[in-house]
Amino acid sequence: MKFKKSLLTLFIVILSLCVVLFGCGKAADEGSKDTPQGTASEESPKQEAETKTVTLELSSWRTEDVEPFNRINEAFNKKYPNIKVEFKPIKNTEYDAQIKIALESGEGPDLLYLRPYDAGRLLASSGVIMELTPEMVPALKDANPSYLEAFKTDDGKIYALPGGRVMLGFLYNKKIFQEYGLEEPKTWDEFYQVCEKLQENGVRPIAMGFKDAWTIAHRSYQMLPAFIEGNAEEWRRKLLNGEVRFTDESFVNHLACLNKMKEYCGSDFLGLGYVDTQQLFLAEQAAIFPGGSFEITYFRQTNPDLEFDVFATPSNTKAGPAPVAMTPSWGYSINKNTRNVDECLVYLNWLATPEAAEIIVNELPGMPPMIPGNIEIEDEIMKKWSSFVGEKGDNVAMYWAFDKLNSQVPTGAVLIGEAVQMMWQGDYTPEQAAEHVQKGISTWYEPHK
Amino acid sequence: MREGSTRAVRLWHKEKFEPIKYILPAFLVYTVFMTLPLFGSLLYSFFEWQGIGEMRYVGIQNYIKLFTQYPYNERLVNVIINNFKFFFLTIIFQNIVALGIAILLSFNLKGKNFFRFTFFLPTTLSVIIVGYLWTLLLNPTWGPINSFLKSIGLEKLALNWLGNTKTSLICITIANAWQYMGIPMMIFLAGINNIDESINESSIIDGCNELKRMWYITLPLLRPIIGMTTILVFVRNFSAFEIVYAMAGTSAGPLYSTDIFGTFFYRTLFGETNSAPQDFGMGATIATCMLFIISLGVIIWQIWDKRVNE
Repeated sequence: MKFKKSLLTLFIVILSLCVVLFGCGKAADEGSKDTPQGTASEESPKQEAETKTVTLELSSWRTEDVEPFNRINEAFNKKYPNIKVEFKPIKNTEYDAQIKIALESGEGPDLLYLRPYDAGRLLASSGVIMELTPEMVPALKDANPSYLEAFKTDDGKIYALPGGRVMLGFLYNKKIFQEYGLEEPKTWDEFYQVCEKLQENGVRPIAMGFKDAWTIAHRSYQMLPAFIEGNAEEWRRKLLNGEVRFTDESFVNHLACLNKMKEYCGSDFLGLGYVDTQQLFLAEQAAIFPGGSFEITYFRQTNPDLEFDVFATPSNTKAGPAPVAMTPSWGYSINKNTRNVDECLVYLNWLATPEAAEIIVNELPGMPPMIPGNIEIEDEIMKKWSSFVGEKGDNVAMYWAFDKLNSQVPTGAVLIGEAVQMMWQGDYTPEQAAEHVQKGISTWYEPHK
Repeated sequence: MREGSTRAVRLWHKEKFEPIKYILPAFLVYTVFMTLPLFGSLLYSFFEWQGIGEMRYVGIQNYIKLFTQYPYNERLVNVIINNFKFFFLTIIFQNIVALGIAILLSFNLKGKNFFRFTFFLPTTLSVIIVGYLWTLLLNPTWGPINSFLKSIGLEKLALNWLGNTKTSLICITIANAWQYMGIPMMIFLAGINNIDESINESSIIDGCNELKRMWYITLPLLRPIIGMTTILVFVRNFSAFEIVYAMAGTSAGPLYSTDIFGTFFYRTLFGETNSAPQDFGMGATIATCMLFIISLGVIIWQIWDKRVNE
């Protein structure tokens, strides 16, 4: 009896273990079915036979863009009713791994968002993404080389049609500016005068904080182009190939500028993080908010009464606005194994038309498309912001750390955050801060060794 | 009624194997879901792996990198110092305070149950909520703590609590201690209530006052419990992550002043806000160091505990 009982216990234990393990296996199976891959390629030939429409799948990490993209695709269908595009995003943090596995196994969506710079190059160099030539997508011919660079491998092959971008500038509170009779500053001197006047009147001039290192890095990307003599993009390329060092005068000067800006951020600025600074601007307790174009939608939603506008980062080296700091956010790529190459190209070429770009910019106002350059924008602030890049669209500077310099530890972004925090605390002079970045980068980046 | 006569079956029925039968199910589940993954993650520390793509065996290269290469070595030293600070501060703000409260609550005060309930309440909250709550309290612009300090004329004390490298870790420790104080308090209270009444009574007859009784009777008898709660805090603190994440983010700012093993591990394994690449091998190496330090602490405590008991 006893033996039977213990046998029974053992049996139950094994059974329950099996159930658990089997359950897991099943869940994993279902998971892989859930991923958007596969379904399209299975269904599309069937659908083609029945209704002669092709369904393309577009994968992305921007889960928040489902509705805007459905509307964008509706507009596409007005012109091309036989090509249906489904926007199927994957959670941002899981996107890279899932997409890579799907593509490498020969499946995956027909179209996908490609990350700019190193992350995108990593995927492209594994040979799962279709190379795009100007013959296939004529719009690439006129594209700004700085945008294309983000989606180009070292041997010069292009893997994506540049998509949305993010721009940096100064947002300001119109009411506060009017109250004290202030105008948008065009030079740094005017900028500091505005700040002085606000400070005298007891208004916090700038909403900027010390606590979150990543926002500090963004302030560096924003101010640096203003202090570069000559072409900012050329300077950045020289930095990347080691001709220019971080101890260069322009780099030190932009750090000195950040150091001076600190004086206008309020006495509690050391205790402020990114969200705090947003709140200060939204509550109209600060007049100027240095930030990205993606803030516009959030600010409008959170405080509809807030009247704000944008002015360009002042230039130190020439008349007119400094090069607008920006970064490509995504590009559109084609899966090498898709069966619907022609349809994918039709879609990409449509995305590159001014007509499509206008729809996109109104659906996703904070992230205007990079191609084509000149488009009509309804949103007043965005229209103004986009005008800072000049008529040819070449008054731009990409974030200096995003290409190559963030690919190993310590990354450029982390180093600049540390350096500026030390400087703001009073431990570093701007020169020492620049040396800190240089020292960190030279530990691993070949051209700077 | 014995069925079967093979040696194995006879062994199975031996009395000394009886406990094994009861332990086996839990042991199996524990092995499959805890021990094996643990050894799996130990193995990762010998590989270079970015989370996707091929894993490359690199031997102890990750450990050499962690101990000798900038920035890993700097961060590691900083993390160890911070983690010990975090531990000692938690002992002060959490366990010593909890012991005091437990002793007070052991007297027959009015509203004793209410206080016990109140002190235990924060334990049931989510760490994220506690972290957010305390960042609001400590906010230099709107926070009630600084407003209060200013209103009573202590302007100089109204610091940028979480933005100052000297105070940020202390603030986070206090928030953490405030939340978890209830647990050691309950354990101490149970320990005090367990002390034999006759010992207390005889001490009173001998003319012992409250203070002396606490010092010579309550505390010595609580010693094993104090040791246990201390080692629990040690294990918890060296594997902590959430409270720093909630109050200072993954970069454990400002300038890594609140960086502890958990955040260092998270940053390295999952990458930073500024798209630093994921590094599973190095993450596993840091996790292994965590495991080593925690095990060492527990072993030292066990040896010490055994010796004192003998």
